[in-house]
Amino acid sequence: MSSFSRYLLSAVDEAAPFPRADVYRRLVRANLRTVIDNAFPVTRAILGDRWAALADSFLDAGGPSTPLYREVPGDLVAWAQVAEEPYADLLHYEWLELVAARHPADIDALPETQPRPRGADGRVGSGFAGHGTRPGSAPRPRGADGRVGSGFAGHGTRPGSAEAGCFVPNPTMQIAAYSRPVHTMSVDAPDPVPFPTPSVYLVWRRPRTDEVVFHRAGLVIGRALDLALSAARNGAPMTMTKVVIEVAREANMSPDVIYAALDTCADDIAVRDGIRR
Amino acid sequence: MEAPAGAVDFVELAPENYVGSGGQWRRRLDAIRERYPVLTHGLSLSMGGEAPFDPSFLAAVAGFLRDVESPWHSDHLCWSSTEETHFHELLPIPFTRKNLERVVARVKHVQNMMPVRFAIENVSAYARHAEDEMSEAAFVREVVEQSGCALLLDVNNVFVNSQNFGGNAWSTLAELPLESVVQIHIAGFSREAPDLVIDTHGAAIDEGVYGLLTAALARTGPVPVLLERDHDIPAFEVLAAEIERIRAIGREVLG
Repeated sequence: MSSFSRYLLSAVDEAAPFPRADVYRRLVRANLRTVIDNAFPVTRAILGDRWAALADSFLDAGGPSTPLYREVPGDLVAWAQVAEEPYADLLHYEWLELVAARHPADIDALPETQPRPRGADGRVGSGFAGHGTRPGSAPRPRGADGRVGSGFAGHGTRPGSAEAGCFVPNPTMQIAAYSRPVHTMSVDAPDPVPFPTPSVYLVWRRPRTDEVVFHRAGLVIGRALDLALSAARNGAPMTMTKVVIEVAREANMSPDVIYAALDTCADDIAVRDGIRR
Repeated sequence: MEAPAGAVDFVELAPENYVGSGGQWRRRLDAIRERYPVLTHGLSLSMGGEAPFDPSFLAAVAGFLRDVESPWHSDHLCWSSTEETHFHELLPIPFTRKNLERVVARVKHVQNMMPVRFAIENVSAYARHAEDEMSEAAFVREVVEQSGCALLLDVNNVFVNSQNFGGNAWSTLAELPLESVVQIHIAGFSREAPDLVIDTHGAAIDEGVYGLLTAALARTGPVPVLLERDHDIPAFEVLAAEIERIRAIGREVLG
C-alpha cells in the first residue's frame, strides 16, 4: 500500500500505480481540501493562490494522522509550526477558535454573568488577600453562604466543593502566545506590526450562545490563567491568591502588582464568562 | 431534526463527528436523541487496513455507542489509514486469502471492544486489485461467516460496483450473506463516464437501486433502511418522497 499511499497525497499527478487509482487520488485530496479550506478562512483569503501550495505541502509531508476528519486542520497547524510556515501563527489562532467552539466541556448550565458592582470611582475588585483592599473599591457580591462568586456547572463549585472560592477559568479556554496581532489580520492587513513582546491570547466559548471570544493579555497574566486552568483541569483548582503567589514567585515580581493586573483583567474576562471566582 | 413528525423514523450518526464535542454539536446530538432512535455508523476504523487499532479511539467510539444506545455499530470493509496517515476515504482492499484472515481477526477484535454487535458494510469501488483471489461478494461472505459479525448492506454500492466492473448486481446481491443483514443503506450516485459512477450520496436514487432494494428486502425481512444524502441536498419534500417510496417498497415486499 505504500506506493499507493504516496500517490494518493501527491500534489504531482504521477503515473497511477493501477487503473482508476487516479479516481481515489482525486477523492482523497478533494475531501481533505474541503475540511482544510473550511477551517482557515482568513489565512486562505490572505494567501490567495498560495493557499493551494500550502495545502499541497501539508499533504506531501504525510497528511493527517488523526482518525477524526474534523481534526485534520489541527494536524495541518502542527505541520505548519514545524515547517515554520509564514502564517503558522494565524493558522494556529484560527484553529484555537474551532477548538474552543467544539470543546467537550458542558458549560451551558452556567448562571448568567452578573457584572460586579463598581465603586464611586468606577473601579471594581478587591486587593490582594493579606495586602488590604484598595480604597474606594466595592466588595464583590456574596451569596447567602458568604462565598464569593460561583463556578462552572459540572466542574464543581457547589458549596463546600473543591472549587468554592477558587479562581476557575472557563474550561473551554485555549491559551497561546503570538508575536503579532493575529486577530487583526486580514486580506487588507496581512502583515501587522509585531508586538514589542509576545502577547497571550485567551480564547473561549461562552455558554448557551456558543459565541467564541478572546482576550489579549501580557505574558504574566497569561501564565496566571494557564496555571489556574491547569489546576482546575487537574481537579485541584486554585484560589486567586495562590495563583498570584505562584506567578509572582516564578516571575520574581511583587504579588501586589500581579494581583492588581490580574484582578482588572479577570473582571474583563468574567463579564464574558471567561472566568469564575 | 426539523422534519415533520413521522417523516423520519431514525437517524444515523457517525461517532467520529460527535465524540469529544460540546457546544452546538452536543446540543444537536441531544436534540436528535430526544426525537429519534439513533443508529451509529463509523468512518475511520480501516477494517481492511494493516495499522494497529488505536485503543483510545476504539474506547471513545464504544463510549459513544453506550451514550446513544445504538443497537449495533457498523463500519466499512475497506482500508483508510496507514500507521502514519488517515486518508479519510474508503479505499479498496485486495480480496486475498491473506487479507481475509487479517480482516476477520480485526473484525473480531473490534467486536470484542464494542458494547453492541458490529457490522461491516460493503463499499463502492472504482478499482480492483490485480491480486484479487475471490469476488467481493465471496470475500464479504467469508468475513461475515468467519467473524460472526453482521452485514450492513449498501444496495447502492452493489449497483455502483456492477456499473464500474461490469458485473451483475443481482447476482452479486444473491451471493452476499443477506441472512446476516441488520440494516440497509441506499443512496444516489453520479455518472462520470459510461463505465465509471461515483458513490456521491449527492443525487436521487437510481431506479436500478430501488430494484435491488426490493430484491434485498425480500431476502432480509424487515430491517431499517437509511437514505444517505451528503451533497446537493434538495428540499426536504424531495427526500421525504424518497423515504416514502422506500417505505412503500417495504410494505409491498414485507406486507
